Amino acid sequence: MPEYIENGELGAWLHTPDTLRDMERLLICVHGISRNAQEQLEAFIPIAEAQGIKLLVPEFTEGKFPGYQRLDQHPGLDRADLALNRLLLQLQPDITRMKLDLFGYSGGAQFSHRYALCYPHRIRSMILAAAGWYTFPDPEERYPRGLSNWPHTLPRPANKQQLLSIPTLVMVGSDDTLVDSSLRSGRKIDLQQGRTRLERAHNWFHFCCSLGKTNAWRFAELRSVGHSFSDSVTHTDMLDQIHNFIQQDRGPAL
Amino acid sequence: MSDIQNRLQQAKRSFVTRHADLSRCAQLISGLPLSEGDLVLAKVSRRRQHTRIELVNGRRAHLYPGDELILCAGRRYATDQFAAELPDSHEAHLIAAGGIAGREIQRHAQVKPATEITIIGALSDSSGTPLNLKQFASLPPLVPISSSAGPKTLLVTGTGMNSGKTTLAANLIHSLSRGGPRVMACKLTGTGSGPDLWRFLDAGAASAVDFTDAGLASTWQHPVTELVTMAQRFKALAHHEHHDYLIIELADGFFQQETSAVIESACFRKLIDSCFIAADCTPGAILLAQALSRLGISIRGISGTLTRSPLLMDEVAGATGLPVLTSDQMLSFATLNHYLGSLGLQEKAL
Repeated sequence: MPEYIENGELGAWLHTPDTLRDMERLLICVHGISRNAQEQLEAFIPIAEAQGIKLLVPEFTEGKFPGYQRLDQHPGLDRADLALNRLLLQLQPDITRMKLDLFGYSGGAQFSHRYALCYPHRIRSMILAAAGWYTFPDPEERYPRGLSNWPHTLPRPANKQQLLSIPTLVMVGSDDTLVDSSLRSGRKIDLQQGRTRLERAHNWFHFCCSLGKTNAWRFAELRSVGHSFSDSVTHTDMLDQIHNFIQQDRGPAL
Repeated sequence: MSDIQNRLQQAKRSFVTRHADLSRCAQLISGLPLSEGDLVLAKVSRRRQHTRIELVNGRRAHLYPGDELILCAGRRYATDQFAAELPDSHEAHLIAAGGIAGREIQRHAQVKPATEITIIGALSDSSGTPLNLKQFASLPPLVPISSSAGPKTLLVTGTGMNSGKTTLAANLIHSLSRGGPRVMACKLTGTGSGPDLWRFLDAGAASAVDFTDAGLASTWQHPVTELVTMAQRFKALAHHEHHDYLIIELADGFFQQETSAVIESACFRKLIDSCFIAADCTPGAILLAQALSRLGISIRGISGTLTRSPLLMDEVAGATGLPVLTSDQMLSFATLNHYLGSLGLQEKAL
């Protein structure tokens, strides 16, 4: 049974599989702005069980982490990446040996790739599903769209070799083309990244691939689904693809 | 004025005795065996490691053979100086410049032997009862406050002596107090001396206290429950004096017995909201971060002498995922407030 843990700063569901086969791995699933942590927990428990690894699903509440996906800092509020790091240290003090398989859907995918830019050496694999928009590893574009003007309070961003060495699966629904109020739009971002999540996922993936060797990078279009985690789980093979992707043997990260 | 009072007037009175009412001293008695906190009059026999003594007003007065000093019997645990027990004869040592009379039992290879003193006698009242620091504690007794009340409380602890704890605490005090809040600072463990308290006040603390205000000359071998109660008294005082923040510095490193026991005390951990670490090396920083995290203590940042080296900063930040901050960064209110997060201020710096 999953247990809910919290340290006064951040709460999270933790599931330990019946047979723990790899104590140095942790699968982390990060929700989108609907904060559907429990739904993600239930969806990913079978993967954690099958691989014999622990599963952690943090809950970045609206009240405490309104801008968690951008690693925003609002005065008087905690930064999401640091809150997660503190929780990880408390859960697993020997975090220096841990390798994270990091999954995020929508806002969770935004959080995940920005977290990976900050802490690339921690990431064993990364699955980004249906992000609304991305930080491109592009020194010409301003943060959060790119690396220029990178906030001095964040860890230095991964260089391109570090980023490209992270096995990465980018996923998006083939019908994730609705442009509504939940999707950041504007002339600059549309021009740089595209108008829809579908376009933006393709463009970010291809931009990264253009930077160098991306042997362990994959792209998957989820057939006939729009922007819905539950539809992606029930009507596509998203979870099977994730299971296959993260079970691959990974060499040591940079 | 009596002869004894005249003699005390002529003596160099040390910092740790500052709260004592010496007008109650009517006689000198042999005093042996001395108890911790007993006030003594001693004479300098031979200057060695300590050539100066810190006076009540903070001035560091030079010592000369034959000088008479008003000191306090106590122990010392200082990894880069002495380990010292209570004096067991009239031949003893000045084992801390703050005014501690003890008996050196160990010393660091790079320091001289302790300055030698002869204890002339213990200060006592007209009934022959020794004067002891405990009789002159200025810290109010514990008035319980609810666990949710009181100032935001930040612990400063480190990997060891001279790892930069007091600098870190002073930087915290300076940044916070410049941002507007009232900050109280305290040193919960260590050996009585003034420089850290002066430094807290210089940094902008509205109030600075330590264990000497609770009647202890030093805290080595002192019951941990009493140290935790003292921390509760500090927090209650900060609450009643309307301070917004309380900074608690612990001396020495995590493996020092009282430091470790205090941090492991659940009652103590309830008092603190978060922690900053001062570290002098990567393994120490990581080990301490792990130990504190294992106890459920949230760490807001790591600083200390290792931040002189950008490479060491990268090592520690990479291993822990926590902010590693130089003194300059700590001294920026905006930067500090960023890392304080929910423990910081919601408004921008004034």
